[in-house]
Amino acid sequence: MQVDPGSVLVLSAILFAIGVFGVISRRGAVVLLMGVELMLNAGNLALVAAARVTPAGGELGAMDGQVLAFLVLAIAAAEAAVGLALVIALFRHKGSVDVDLARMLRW
Amino acid sequence: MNVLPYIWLIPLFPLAGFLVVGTLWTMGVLRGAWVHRVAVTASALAFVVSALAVWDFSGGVERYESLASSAPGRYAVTVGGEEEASRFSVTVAEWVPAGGTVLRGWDPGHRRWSDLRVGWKFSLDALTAVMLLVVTFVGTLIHVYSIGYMAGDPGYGRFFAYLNLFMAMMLTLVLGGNLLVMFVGWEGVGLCSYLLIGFFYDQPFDRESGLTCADAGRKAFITNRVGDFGFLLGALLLVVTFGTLDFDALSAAINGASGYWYAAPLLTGIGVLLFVGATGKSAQVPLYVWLPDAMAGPTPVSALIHAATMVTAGVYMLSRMSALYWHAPGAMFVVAVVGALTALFAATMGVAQYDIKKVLAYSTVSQLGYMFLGAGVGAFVAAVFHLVTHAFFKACLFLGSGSVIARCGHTNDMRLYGGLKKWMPVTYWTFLVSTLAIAGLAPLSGFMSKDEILAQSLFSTRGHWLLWLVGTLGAVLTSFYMFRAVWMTFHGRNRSPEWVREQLRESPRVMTGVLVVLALGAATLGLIGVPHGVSRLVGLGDVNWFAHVLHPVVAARGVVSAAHGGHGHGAGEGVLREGFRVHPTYGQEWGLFLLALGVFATGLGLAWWAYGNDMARARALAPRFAYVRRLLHRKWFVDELYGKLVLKPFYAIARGMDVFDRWVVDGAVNFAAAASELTGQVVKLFQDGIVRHYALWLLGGAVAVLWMMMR
Repeated sequence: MQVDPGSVLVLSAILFAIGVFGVISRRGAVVLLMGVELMLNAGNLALVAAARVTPAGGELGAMDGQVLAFLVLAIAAAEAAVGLALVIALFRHKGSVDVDLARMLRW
Repeated sequence: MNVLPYIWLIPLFPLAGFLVVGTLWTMGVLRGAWVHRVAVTASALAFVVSALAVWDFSGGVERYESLASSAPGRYAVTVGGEEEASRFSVTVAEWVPAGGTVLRGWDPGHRRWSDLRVGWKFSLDALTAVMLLVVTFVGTLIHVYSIGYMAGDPGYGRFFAYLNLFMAMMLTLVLGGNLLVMFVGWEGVGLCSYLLIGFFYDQPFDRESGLTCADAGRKAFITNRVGDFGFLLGALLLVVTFGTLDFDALSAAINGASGYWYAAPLLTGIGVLLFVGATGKSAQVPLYVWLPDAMAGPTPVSALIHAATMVTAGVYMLSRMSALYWHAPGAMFVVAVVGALTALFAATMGVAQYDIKKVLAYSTVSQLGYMFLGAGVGAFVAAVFHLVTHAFFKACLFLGSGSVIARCGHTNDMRLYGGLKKWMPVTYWTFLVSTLAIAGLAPLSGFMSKDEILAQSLFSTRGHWLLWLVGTLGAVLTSFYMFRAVWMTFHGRNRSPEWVREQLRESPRVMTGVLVVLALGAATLGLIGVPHGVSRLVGLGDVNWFAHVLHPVVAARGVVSAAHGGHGHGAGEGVLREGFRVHPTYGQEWGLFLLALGVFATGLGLAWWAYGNDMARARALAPRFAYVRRLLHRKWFVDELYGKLVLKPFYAIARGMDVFDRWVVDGAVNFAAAASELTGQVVKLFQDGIVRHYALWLLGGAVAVLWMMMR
């Protein structure tokens, strides 16, 4: 089945918007991280879809988008590890994972 | 002995003395006698090396020609003759290597690349030699005198440190082989003058005006700054015009340029500007006002800096630049007029002072006026000769007054002296000898030099009988005020308070010994430069050794005068030097000689008449001349006039500047600071510590960027 790259990009945009909404609206650190993850993967989707429509060229052909997506996956893994560690630290410190409780770093 | 290549060491001896005494005394290591042992040794070493160098120099500089050719950048030798001055120069280090600077010449369209190189150049010729010996000899004597005079002063080490620094700077000034090195010394001695005038910085100096000694120091420094500005402008004009500051190169360049149309106005401008510097340093009208107040310093300082050496720097500079002045008759005329006016004007003020040091100070101003009169009429040799003799008799007079002041309860007021002859015979006799010398008694030094200047001002091509008349009137007053001081101080009834009179005695040997040496110099030094006119009268030939030595340095080269005749004294082919407009006849010489003695006797007689009988007649006449006395005592109200004309507008401008600075400049700065702070106060509210808000701002930013890209 051939999927239209344009509709994939629209899906990617929708996923990204959901992720942004999650980050901005939710106070729970875990859900917030999930929002971040959603935004990253929306980006991946856009990359892969864009790679499909890019005219081939160079040694890797139109593989640039896929390669970049792998890179993002690796970074997302690292980000998740650090983010979850922060969440645990926050929980130990405050007894809760509400990110609005961590607001000492301000004027 | 090869000393000449090491002349640059001479200023370093006192400089080392300054550093050692200055640091170690401040640290408290150097105490008591060691202070003056170090300082006097430093000064004496400078004298010894100077004397050796001069001895070496007098043996001829031909021996150094091979040295100069082997290191042409470092050494320079000029072998002189009758018309050309011998000179040895050593450039220790490069200072301003401004090679390849574009300088615009004064003639239109004349741009050129200049190779302006100014080095630390020290040179020695006959003029330098004379100054070196005077400065180091008198300077060392005054160091020795200070041991007695400053004994027990809490600032003993500070005093000797400054005195040594002064010697170093004065020697730099004298040895400088270009105008810039000379300027270093010029400013350095000004600094030392300031430091030493304000030596008793916390003590009142002038009760009438309420000045402290520190104020007097400031006055001297600031007045000198006015003059130095002129000096600097003159030096810069020299650089722009000739592209060099080196004395050798300058005189060659000036002689070469004298044919151009622009030479006369330009050289006159430079000459007058440099002379403005000299009026500051050498206390001439209109910048003389600082010197009388400089008497706030300790008396040895008055003798060394404000009589014998520093204040004569202007005369030295003019003689050094004589090549320029010969080609700038206008500038010489200005010099002569200012000198003559100063000589008379200062003498009138000296007549009505009660402060013995102020009498001597005005006398110094007046005598410096004679030197400038001499330089202005082309009698550079006589001017420098007067500088030398003045250094001796005025130093002796000042140190004599110091001896009196120290014994009379540290008062300078001659009304509280009287009859001191009985207690202080050595001081009295030395003071009297120097007074006779300055007043112009025939065989003594002052007669030889001062009356040579007066004769030249009458007979020289650049002289005028009015200049001579003004100078002669000044000489009458000189004789009068000096003998007035002698009578008020040493004769008559003693007017000191009881407690002072009980402890009156002669000063210690270390002081009187110096007085004796200086008085001997004041008496006999005239014999090295007996003017031609005088030696002719007594049937001797040309015995003016001093003029023979000095003449090649200050002779005019390349100046041809229309009045130049074959009978001119020492005139050669196309060369005019100390040219005489009128060659004096035998009778005229006799007339001048007798007139000079008459001038001396008139002053002496007047002083004796008024002050002789225990000041009886002066007291009787005082009410009748009250107005004149007040005018003279208050110094023609010149200080008040300067206050109104210069200081008041200056203060007004300064106050305006203050307001501008406070409100406009500071206002702008403070506004910028306040605006930054306010912005910060507002913007910091965005940093509220809530991560989701940051995400929102981030999103907003991203959307904004996206929107801008899409548009």
